[in-house]
Amino acid sequence: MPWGDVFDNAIGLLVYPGAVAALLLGAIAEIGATWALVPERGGLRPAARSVLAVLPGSAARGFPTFSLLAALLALVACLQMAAPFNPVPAGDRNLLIAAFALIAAAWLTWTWGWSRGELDPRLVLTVQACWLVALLVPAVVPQNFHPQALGNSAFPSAVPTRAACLFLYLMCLPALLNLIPEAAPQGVPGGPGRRLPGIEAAGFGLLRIVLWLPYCGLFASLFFAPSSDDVLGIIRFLVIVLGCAMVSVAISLNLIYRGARFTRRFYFNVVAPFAIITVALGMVLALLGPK
Amino acid sequence: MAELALGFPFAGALVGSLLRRRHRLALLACLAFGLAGLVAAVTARPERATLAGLDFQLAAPVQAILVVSFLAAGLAVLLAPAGADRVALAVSGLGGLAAIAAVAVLGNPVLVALAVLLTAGVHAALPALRSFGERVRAPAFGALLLVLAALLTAGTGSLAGARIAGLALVLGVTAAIGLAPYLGALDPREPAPASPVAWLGFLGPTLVVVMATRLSGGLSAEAGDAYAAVLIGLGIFNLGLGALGGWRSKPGADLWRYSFLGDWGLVLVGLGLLSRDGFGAASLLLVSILLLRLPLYLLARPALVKTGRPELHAAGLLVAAALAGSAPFAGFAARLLLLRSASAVAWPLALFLAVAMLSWLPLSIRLAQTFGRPSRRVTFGVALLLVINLAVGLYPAFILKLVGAS
Repeated sequence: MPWGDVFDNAIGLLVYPGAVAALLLGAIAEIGATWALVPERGGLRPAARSVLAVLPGSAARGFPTFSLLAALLALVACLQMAAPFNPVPAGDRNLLIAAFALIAAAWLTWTWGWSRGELDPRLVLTVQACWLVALLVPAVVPQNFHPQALGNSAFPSAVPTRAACLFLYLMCLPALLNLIPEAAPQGVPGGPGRRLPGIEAAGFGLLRIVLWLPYCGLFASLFFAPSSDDVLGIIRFLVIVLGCAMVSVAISLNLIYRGARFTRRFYFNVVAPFAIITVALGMVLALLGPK
Repeated sequence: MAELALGFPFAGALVGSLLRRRHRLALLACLAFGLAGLVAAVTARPERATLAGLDFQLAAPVQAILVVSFLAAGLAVLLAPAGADRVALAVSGLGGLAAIAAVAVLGNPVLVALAVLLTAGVHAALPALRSFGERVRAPAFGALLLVLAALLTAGTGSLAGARIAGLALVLGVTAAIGLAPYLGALDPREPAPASPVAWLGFLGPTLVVVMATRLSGGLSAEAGDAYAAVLIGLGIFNLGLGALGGWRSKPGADLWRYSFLGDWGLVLVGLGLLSRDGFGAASLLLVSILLLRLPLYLLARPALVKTGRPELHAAGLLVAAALAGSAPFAGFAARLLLLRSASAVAWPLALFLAVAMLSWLPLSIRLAQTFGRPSRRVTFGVALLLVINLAVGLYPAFILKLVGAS
């Protein structure tokens, strides 16, 4: 690999669309989620304070290795997004890398928090499978794994599948972003933390902040035409990313409000069958051929 | 603009959810988004438009029923019983409106079917007294039949395939709405957004008009005949079952369920006649379901839960007249149009329809008794609904013109 590409990748990983961007955008989304999910805390300032409280301070020094590894994988997924000014060449971005990186990040978190009784591994596994369907089925008809190409694909026969995948992706986000009690080792944003303030809480908190951009950015890359490399393009991309974050918080809020039974029913009886139907539909429409 | 009729209620449901615990703000946001959606639905043009690869189209009859659905959702929130969680009701209403608008404006039939499928799943997952399986079976089966119909219409050129598509279309829509033979139990203790009434009285009207105007458009003339025959057959079946079930029911939730079925039977027959008068009658009946029968059921629900002694007041006679479709209410014009259209096709059909319509006269009095001793709020709600229905009944040409049946 030429040194120029290595430099571009390093910049991408550490600054934009990697660490700095993911932390900034993740913090905004996390504060918004805290404000929406626990309004009793007051306005945005107390929400921001509660988000920052989980980060290392007097109670914790540093982060657990697992959380840093998982965060690194999430940043690798960030590099695969069709974000404006992404220094990684468009041809080098791959959906499969993003998928594997995010699944691996989730699994690292789960090896770490595996035995926590309050979590539901079956639910998270089911959601991950559904999310993979939403991520990969749009690639079937165009036969292409480059996110920017998928966002741009214009096969009329693939439109229903893409629309189904879009909804499937959105419905999976609350569990993937650790926004519901069944999937959040540290508890929901703003809620009473399940871990005492310390190194573990800091690790889980950091990881959730970093996860917002790759999940919501991949959504923007897959289901919307790529944004141009200019200020308007950046604004458009951010609007889609934050819109996706808002929708996932709203879905989470409804799931939390209606209780654990509804959440399980929603994922096992609605989302999972919908994923199967989406796969079947994708296969049928792929058989009918791109028109 | 058609896409905004979908976007605003969807955004309203999201924002309402986010602000759920800030009651006033949430209600204000729901109201603002609901009104914006209504304006978008009213001002949408019928031409096909494309956005982000999706085709959007809002034909005139669908537009009219969509607008009436917005009004029905507004009435449901406005007339909610004292102490009810209006924010939850408004969020559910906007969610339902988003689903209705998706069915109304999406141009691709497969997408319409997927929207129905998703709505069926989420609706069945809502907390209620009946099991998830019991609630999801019919609408999910209906949505899958709609997918089959859409794929067959697009992918087959044979007459047999087209006939199966027509059959799947009608059966799919009736199953999704929950009409006989897919009729579900109605328990008044269940919250209205999670009960079968959500399909029978709110989501169903738009779906059936989309079926009649857009989804059936791809069928050939030969397949169209079979489609019409199935519609009339199912209509007669629902009408008969509604009347028979109504006679056998005590004044309660079951009687309301059969009264919905009776109206739906007339709607299906009207659509199956494939005539302008038939379509006009069906449209008027759908408006009557949305702006009279559904809100009246919602007003009667608290009394149904209490299962008090049935009582009939003076105002109850007016309610009974409106529910039975007597002059000068909206149902009367619909029934006249339907009889005219049916008598032009086959007089035995018109005779059967007339008998079924008359059988609902005494049953409607029993329905009106289910309100018990109405509170001031219920009396106001009933008066408002009767005035609206009277206005439609006195000038049905307005609705008929909107749906293109004048």
